[in-house]
Amino acid sequence: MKLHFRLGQMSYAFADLKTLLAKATPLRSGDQLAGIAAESAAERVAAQMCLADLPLPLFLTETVVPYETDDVTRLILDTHDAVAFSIVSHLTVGGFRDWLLSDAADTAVLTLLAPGLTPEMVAAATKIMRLQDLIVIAAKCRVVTKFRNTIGLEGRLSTRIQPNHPTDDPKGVAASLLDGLLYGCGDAVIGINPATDNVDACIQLLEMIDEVRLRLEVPTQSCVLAHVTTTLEAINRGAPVDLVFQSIGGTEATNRSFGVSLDLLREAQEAALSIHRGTVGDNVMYFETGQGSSLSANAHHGVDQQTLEARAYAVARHFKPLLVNTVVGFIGPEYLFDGKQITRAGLEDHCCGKLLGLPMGCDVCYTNHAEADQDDMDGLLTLLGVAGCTYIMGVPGADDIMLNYQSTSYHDAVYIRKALGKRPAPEFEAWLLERVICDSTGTLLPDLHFLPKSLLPAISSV
Amino acid sequence: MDDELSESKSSWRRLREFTSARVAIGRSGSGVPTAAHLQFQWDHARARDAVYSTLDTDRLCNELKSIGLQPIQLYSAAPDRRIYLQRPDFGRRLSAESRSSLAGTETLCDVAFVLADGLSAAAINAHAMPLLKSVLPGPSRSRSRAHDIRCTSLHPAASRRCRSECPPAP
Repeated sequence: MKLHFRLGQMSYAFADLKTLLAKATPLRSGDQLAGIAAESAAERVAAQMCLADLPLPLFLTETVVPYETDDVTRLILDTHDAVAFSIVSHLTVGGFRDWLLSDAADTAVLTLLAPGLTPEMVAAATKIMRLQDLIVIAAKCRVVTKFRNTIGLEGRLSTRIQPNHPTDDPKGVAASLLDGLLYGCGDAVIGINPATDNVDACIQLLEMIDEVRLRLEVPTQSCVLAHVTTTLEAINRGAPVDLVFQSIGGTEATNRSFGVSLDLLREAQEAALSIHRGTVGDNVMYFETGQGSSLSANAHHGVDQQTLEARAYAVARHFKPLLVNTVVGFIGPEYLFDGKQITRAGLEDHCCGKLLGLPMGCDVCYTNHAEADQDDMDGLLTLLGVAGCTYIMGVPGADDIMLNYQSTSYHDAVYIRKALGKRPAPEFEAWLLERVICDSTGTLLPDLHFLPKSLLPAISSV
Repeated sequence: MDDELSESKSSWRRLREFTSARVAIGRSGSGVPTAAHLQFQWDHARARDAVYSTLDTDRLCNELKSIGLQPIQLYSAAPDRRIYLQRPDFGRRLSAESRSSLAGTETLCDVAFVLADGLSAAAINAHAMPLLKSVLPGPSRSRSRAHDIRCTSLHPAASRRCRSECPPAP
C-alpha cells in the first residue's frame, strides 16, 4: 500500500509500511548501512508525520515481513489479543503516543494492554517519541518475574554479575563473582559468557557457581550463556542449570542464523522447567537482543533495525523469561555509531520491551571503535534508571576481559541505586543485610566483614 | 577492629591473583577511586588512538623490500577511518584506482599476505614485520617469486582480495 504525504509544497511518497517506518526512524548508522534511512532530515519528519496519522489496526493487516515466510510474523499475529487491543484500537500512532503519555495509561491498564500490542505498533510510536517520552512511559510499566528471587518490583533495580574470564578459569571467574557480591550486585543473575562453547567447560562453570551460591546461601540464579543446544545437553547430563540463555532476533532468518528456532526455544524452556530449580517462581529463560543483528545476518528483509529489535521481544515474551536485555552498543558503530545513537536505542529498546510486557533490562555498553565512552554510559545509565530499567550488567571495573568491550561496573550499580534510591531484589537485599555487606539503608559497609569468614575459603576451594 | 579491616582489605586485594579483571579496585563512595579511574581512561585512550592510528606504509614497504619482498600498496573503497567504521562494506572492496592498478598483475600464488590496518594500524605497524619474519622461511626468502609470496599493504582499511589465504581483516 502506497503512502502519500504532503507538507507545504513538498510531497512525499512511501512505497509501503516498512519503508515508511524506516524513513521515520531517528538517524542511526545501521539504517544508513542498509540503505533505508531517510535521505534528509525533512523527509524523516515528513515520514514521522505520515506515520503519526496511521490507524493502529493497520498494523494487523500490513506486515513488514511476510506472514507466509516468517514464523515471527506468524507468532505476532496468531497470538495477538484483540480484546486487550480494543483499549487503543481507535487510535492512530500519534494518538497512541498521546494516550501513553496521559494519566489514562496507568500501570494497571498498560499491563492489561501488553498482549494486545504488536512490536510494530510500539516501534512506530517510539519513533515519534522524545527521550523523555520513552522514559516516562516505560517508568509506568511494571513487569515482575521470579525464580529464586523477585525481579522488577517498584523501586528496585537489579544487577547481573558478569564475571567473564578469557579462558573460563573457574578461580578467575570466582574472583570476579565474589568481588561483585561485595558491591551488592548479582540479584538478577550470575551470568557468565563462556570463552568456549563446549559442554564440559560449561558444566564446570555451572557447578562452580552453584557451589558458591549454596555455600554462601545467595538468593539468586545462575546462567552460563552458551548456545541453547549446549545448555540442553548440560541439562540432559544433570548439570545444575537455573536459567536457559539464548540470543534472539526479530525474523525467522535471524534466529536461524543464530542456530535456533521457536520449537528449540520451547524445548529448552520445558527442559529447564522439568528440573524444578526455581523456588519463588518458574521464569526460566534469559534472552539477549540488540539492534542490528538482523542486518548483520542479512536477514532484515529491508526493515529498519529498531522495528526488528521490537519484533525480537515478541519471540521473548512467548517464553515467559525471567530476564531480557538489549546489548545496546555491542554490535558496533556500523549499527549505532556514537553515544547519541546508543543512548536513543537503549531507551527505545527498554520502552518497547516494557510496553510489550517484558522484564526489560539493558547492557549499557560500547566498543572501542564506537564514538563513545563511559560518560555516554553514565548518561544512558542514569536515563534508564529514571525509566525504571529492570536490571543492568555488572562487570569488574566496566572492562570485560573476555568479550573486550566496556559495560557498566559494580560501582555503576552502586551509583545508580544510590542516586535514584533504588534497591536490589528483596530476597537479595535481606541477604546483603544478613551478611553485613550493606546496612539497613542499603549503604555498602566499609568493614568487609563478609570477607575473611567466607570469601577466601570459597575461592581457594574452587 | 583496624587489624580485622586491614586483613579484610588485603584478603580482598588477593582476588587480583586469580584474574586480570579489574577486581578489588576499591571505591570512593559509589565511585571508582582516582587511580583506577585514570588507569581505565589510559587504557581506553590507547585503544581509541589505535583505532585512528595511521599505517606507516613507507617504513613497512622499505622493511618488506629489505627482506626480499615486493609489496603492492592498495586502498580500499573507504576514503577515511570514520566512514570505514560506519561502512565496513566499503572496507571489503578495493578502490576503483587500486583495482585497476592491479589489472594485468595477477600471478598464481599459494599464499598472499595482506597487511591491512582496519581497526588498528598500530597493530600492523608494531607486529607485521616480526610476524612475517617468523612465518617466512629464512634462506629462501630472497626467492620470493618461487614461493609466490605477495605482500600488499592497504590504506586506510582492509581488503579481502585473496580470501582463503589471508588472515581475516577487520
